[in-house]
Amino acid sequence: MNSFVEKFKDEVNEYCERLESGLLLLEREPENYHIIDEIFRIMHSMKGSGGMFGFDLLSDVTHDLESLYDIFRSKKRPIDSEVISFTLSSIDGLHNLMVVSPGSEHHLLAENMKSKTKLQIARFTDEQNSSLSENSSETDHSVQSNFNQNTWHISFVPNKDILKNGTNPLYLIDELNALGECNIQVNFDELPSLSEMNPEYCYVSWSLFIATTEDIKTLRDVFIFVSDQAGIQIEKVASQNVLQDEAVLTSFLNAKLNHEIWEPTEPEMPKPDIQEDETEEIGVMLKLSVEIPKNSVFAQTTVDSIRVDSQKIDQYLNIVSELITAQSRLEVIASKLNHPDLEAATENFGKLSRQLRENAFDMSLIPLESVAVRFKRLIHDLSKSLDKEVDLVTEGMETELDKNIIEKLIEPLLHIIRNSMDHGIENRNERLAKQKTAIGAVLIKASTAGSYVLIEIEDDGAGLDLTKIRKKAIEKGIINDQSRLSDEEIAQLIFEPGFSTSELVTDMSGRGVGMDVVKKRIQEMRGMIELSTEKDRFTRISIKLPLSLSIIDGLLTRVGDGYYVIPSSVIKKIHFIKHESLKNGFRQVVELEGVQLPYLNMYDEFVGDGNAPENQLIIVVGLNNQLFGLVVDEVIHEYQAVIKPLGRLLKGQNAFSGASILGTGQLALVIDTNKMIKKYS
Amino acid sequence: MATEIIHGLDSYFTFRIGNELFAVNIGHVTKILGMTDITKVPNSPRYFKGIINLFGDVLPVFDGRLKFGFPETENTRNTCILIFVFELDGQPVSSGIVVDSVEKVVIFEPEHIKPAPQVGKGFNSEFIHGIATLNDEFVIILNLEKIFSEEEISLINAVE
Repeated sequence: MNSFVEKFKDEVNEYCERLESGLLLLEREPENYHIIDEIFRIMHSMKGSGGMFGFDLLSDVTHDLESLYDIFRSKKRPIDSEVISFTLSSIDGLHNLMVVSPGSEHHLLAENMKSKTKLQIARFTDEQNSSLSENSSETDHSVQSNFNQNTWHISFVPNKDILKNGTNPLYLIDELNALGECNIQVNFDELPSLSEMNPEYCYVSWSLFIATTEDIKTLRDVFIFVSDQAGIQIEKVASQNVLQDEAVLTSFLNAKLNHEIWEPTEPEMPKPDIQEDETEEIGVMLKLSVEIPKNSVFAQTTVDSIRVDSQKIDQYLNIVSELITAQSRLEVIASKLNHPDLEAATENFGKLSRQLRENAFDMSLIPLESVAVRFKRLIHDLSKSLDKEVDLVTEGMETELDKNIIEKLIEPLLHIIRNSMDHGIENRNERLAKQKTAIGAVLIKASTAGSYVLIEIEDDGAGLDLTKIRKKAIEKGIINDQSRLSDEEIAQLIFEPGFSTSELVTDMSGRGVGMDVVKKRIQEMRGMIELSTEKDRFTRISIKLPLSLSIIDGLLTRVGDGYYVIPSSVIKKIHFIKHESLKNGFRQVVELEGVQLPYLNMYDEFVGDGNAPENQLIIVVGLNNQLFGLVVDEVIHEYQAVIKPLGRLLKGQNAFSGASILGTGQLALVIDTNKMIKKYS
Repeated sequence: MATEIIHGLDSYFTFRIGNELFAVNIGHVTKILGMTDITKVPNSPRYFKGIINLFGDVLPVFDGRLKFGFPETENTRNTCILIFVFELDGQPVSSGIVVDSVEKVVIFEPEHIKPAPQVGKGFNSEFIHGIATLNDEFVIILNLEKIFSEEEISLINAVE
């Protein structure tokens, strides 16, 4: 049962995402009834499955929301932005209501949401109160109802595979039964002999007459979720209840068999105008409901893809990593045995496992698009609360990244956007005074460059005030007033810990999380972050990230009898060096090509028995314009390292980002150059 | 590693470090390995031996002798690595301890386990879950969660 509940939660999360993206789209095109229909449908599904799994509060609240959207769907009133904002905030509430055993606070929240929804409904139905009361008076006078009723004929022919979607056609018939008096015929003509019957297929169809006061729209709504899985025809037989009148019914069915056009029989007071309208509407509506799946804005989310538990993908990646390790072990053995057949087979095996790795790797990537809706949502919410109009422009959202990276990236990106909205973009009057467009813009651009992904977040706001930053940095003791820094270097100071230029701590960005945390997060993913700005023009933050966290290109080196992997991405140069030349001077600096280079002799530091080899190599690594030398005994070869975490017990050690298993089964430590440099320079 | 702790067992796994007999609940023991290559992690405390490759997983290994205040000795034929699983912040974590020899599995009923004495010599009594007797010899039953508690870990981290 629990797994069902988990599935349901997944499902609701997906519904919510679709609702959000639909609502944001709707804000731009309030007249788009396809979207409203889709929103209504999602809410209906949520209500249904919520009730089924015992999430009664969720189902209760969605019921009211559904009623609210019914108003717009039936085109009684146009939707407005207040409702859209209200619904967006309700979605957040729905997340909180997704609890198996709700407490009193959940009931309170649900009541609160329900009453707010009722208010919204009231806002739109006030003017229709008159017509509503009319309706109720109709039902009160049941004596007259015979004449207020219409008789319809419904032919419902489900597709054979309708049962596979979990639809029970009998429920639909039950629902019709509840709407009015029915005369139901079940058609078994298609039923094959028992030996040919597939028990998973539905061979039955229905033909029924219904006498009801409801209009055709209500009847059609019964079939709203099966419209693309069944043939549905709704025709008017008469403008009164003729269910007892066998003659009328038979002649209607005869006319149908002979493909004749049926003129609905009229009671004493015919209303030809209205009728015509209605039949026309039937045609249009039916066509619409058939087309929706194709035209729907959400259609693309259901293309040929399957949902796989992300844990399964992780497992799969792990197994592939194991395979790569096993394969490099095989290579070691094959080269030892020196057998030509074995070598050929090993080579082929190597090729295949590389392909497999790329394929597996590809699977774990997801497009940025999948989180873009959260950016849009944030900008939508902030532009309301900050009273700044801002357009979000996105580019390259199809760029793919490892899902673990995307997960860790969301918070920093949201923080950067928050900063842009809060401190960057000016309010309307300021913007006009600066002769800018009244509406600000935030641009999020992503692209792939080699094994890296570049993400840029740019706003066309006020830019950074570099003199202010410099002053502040001196105040905080981050730099001293003698330091000469280029503008570029000053701009990077905002990434320093304990730096915040905003004098007013606002609700948005003053949460004690500074840009230093953003930078830390990015660096934890072996990424880099830079900032460029021009006063009154723009602020641009560029983030460079590796495609994956689990596999890196590196250089395998040896120090003493230990192996170390240095990420290729940071390596600038490799020089031969005599150990002698490193001994001079107490400062750990060596001169190379006329540049004073700080370095770490890994032998002296890690082994420390004073027997460092005479000939060593110095690997020059670069980070943010800062160069650093790592002295090793031997460079073995380039190496594609599958990084294994060192485990949580060693989380706090500060020089290595993990270990990699070599072909021989030995372990090599992967050097985290960021931390290494920080620790030793 | 997807290994889980098995709770509610009365069986204990016994092993020796120095002359002392130790035990841990069998539900925490996942593997016994002969000595293998241990990759040193530079700049870590002496009782942290390094990391090993256990069927594709990287596990940290501690030196039981140094950890519990015994003098360091040469490895013998009987020296083994015990792999434990224990809970850290609600998640199972695996780690190894080098011990001088492994003994056997015995059953201690809960009533036969006495609380640890408050004053022990050269040994942090916090690490002890209780004391039992086996063939007239004291058996120290270890509390793994305490041994690898956050404080201890931060100690590892703090050593430069």
